[in-house]
Amino acid sequence: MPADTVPGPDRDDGLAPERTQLAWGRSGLAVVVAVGVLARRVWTLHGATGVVALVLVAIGALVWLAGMRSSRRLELSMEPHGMTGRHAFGLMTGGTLVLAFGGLVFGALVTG
Amino acid sequence: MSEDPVSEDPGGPPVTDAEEPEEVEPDVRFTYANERTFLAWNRTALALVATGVAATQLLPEFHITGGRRILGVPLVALGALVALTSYRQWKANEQAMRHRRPLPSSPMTLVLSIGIGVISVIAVVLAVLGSK
Repeated sequence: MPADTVPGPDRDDGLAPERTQLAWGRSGLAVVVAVGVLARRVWTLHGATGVVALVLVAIGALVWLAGMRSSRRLELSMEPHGMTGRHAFGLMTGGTLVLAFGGLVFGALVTG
Repeated sequence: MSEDPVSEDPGGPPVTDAEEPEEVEPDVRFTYANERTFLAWNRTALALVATGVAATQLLPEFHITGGRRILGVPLVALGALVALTSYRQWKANEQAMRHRRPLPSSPMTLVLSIGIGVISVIAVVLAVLGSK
């Protein structure tokens, strides 16, 4: 049995955790963009409000980044069950569905 | 001196491949791969939703009545469908790996391709006939 298929402390996951972390990072960016596009509908950006909106989006991205870093630290110190807790999958799906629902409502309201 | 190949194997089924209903923890790299696949589908869903919203909210009006809605709402609906099915698929894959079953197939690659194709045709029609 090769060493990398042995479960336990000697197992080598290779680059799988890193790729998965990068995938979560891309998903975070996608969330920021999707929320930004939806927010654009209720919040028309002019001058100062535009700057405030950009700062908020930047803060959101930074918070996501910080969350990823802490989850990475957690991952390194714990028994592996994938990158994140199972609740994260439902959360991502639920959040995406909420965004989609908002999009459908806005879409239904638009004229022309 | 001749070797008897039959005596090497006393017969009977091999020890492995027995159908065991009990759960096993899958190789964590497969768990990671399943997780990334879910995330990629979920990003696709987010992109569809964002594009649909952008189409309804940010595009100028078309000549064709409800043109922005015709373009944007299917995108958002497809995004919602992809989000939902990607979660179900992730769960089904996880269960299959835990019970050492083959991974379930999904029609979503076909659905997504056809969906985007149809929406592209709508976009072309709107762009040619409906732009002011």
